[in-house]
Amino acid sequence: MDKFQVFFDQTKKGFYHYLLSLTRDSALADDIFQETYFKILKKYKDKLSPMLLYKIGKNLFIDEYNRNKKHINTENITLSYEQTGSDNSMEADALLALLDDEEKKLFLMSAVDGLKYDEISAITGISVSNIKVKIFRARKKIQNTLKGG
Amino acid sequence: MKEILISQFIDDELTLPEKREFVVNVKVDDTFYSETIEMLDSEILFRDKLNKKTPPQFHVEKYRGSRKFIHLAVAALFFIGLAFLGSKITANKPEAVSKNNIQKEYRFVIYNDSASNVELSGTFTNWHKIPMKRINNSNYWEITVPLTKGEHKYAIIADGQVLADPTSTFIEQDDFGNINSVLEV
Repeated sequence: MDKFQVFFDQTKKGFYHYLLSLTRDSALADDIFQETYFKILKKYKDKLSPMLLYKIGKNLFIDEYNRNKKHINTENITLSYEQTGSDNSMEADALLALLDDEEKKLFLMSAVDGLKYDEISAITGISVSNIKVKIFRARKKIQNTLKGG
Repeated sequence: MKEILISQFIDDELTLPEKREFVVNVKVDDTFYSETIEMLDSEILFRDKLNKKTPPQFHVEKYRGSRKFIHLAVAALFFIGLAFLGSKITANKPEAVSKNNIQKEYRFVIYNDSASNVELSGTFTNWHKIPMKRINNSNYWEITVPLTKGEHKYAIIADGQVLADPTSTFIEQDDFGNINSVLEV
């Protein structure tokens, strides 16, 4: 398997959920997903990095948002947030949307993509102890929401 | 700070002294114990939610060019789907694979203890259903089909219900809401 394939398999799940939580629209998330990996493959094949992946993905999302604001259904975001309460039927992307961007990335890299804290630290430049705290906070937010707190 | 241990425990990031501290805390501190259980439960629930959505596959060839191409592909899939619906009524004969491509015999095996009729349907059969054979009165069903090199999508149909192959690592949702398995030969 080539390096890109390995990178894709390692990151696809976390990155896809990141996009879902940004866009709240699976068709748009799919589009950005394809476009980001396409860019990586075309331009950054020799320096594959999850950080770069998330950065390109977020920029594409912002571009899309600016290009056609009608595409992004922001009403949904407030709605499901209000609906939380004791409702644990919330979707994963709605839960992830509760986290700030950095918490989200770190949490997805660790819990979903299975990267080690020191690997994440090397990629992001954030210290391991800081990563521990941020991932813990992300978990706590998710837990509180699931509990209805 | 102690609570962070739980998060590290979930991520399998504890050093030996931390592991020791964790175990001692779980044993002697009831609050810590219930906090651990709650966080684990929430993690189980959350990961379960995450697993409900599978990331799409990435195809350079499919994507190359612009998004318009994707729309064309979606339109094409729609017509293939129509053809599939139409073909259900007509023949049940699998389409022969192209003679020029390299063929490989591929054996599909699936375990199903409740169905009385298991079928296989995929891009290689032009989505016609072909019956799978029960192996010696067991609950395993098998079929061997010739496949060309490349990517194939397929689904298992147990008593009329379309299922993704549980043994396949790659699954994806098609435009009709079905979950298909993806196989690379």
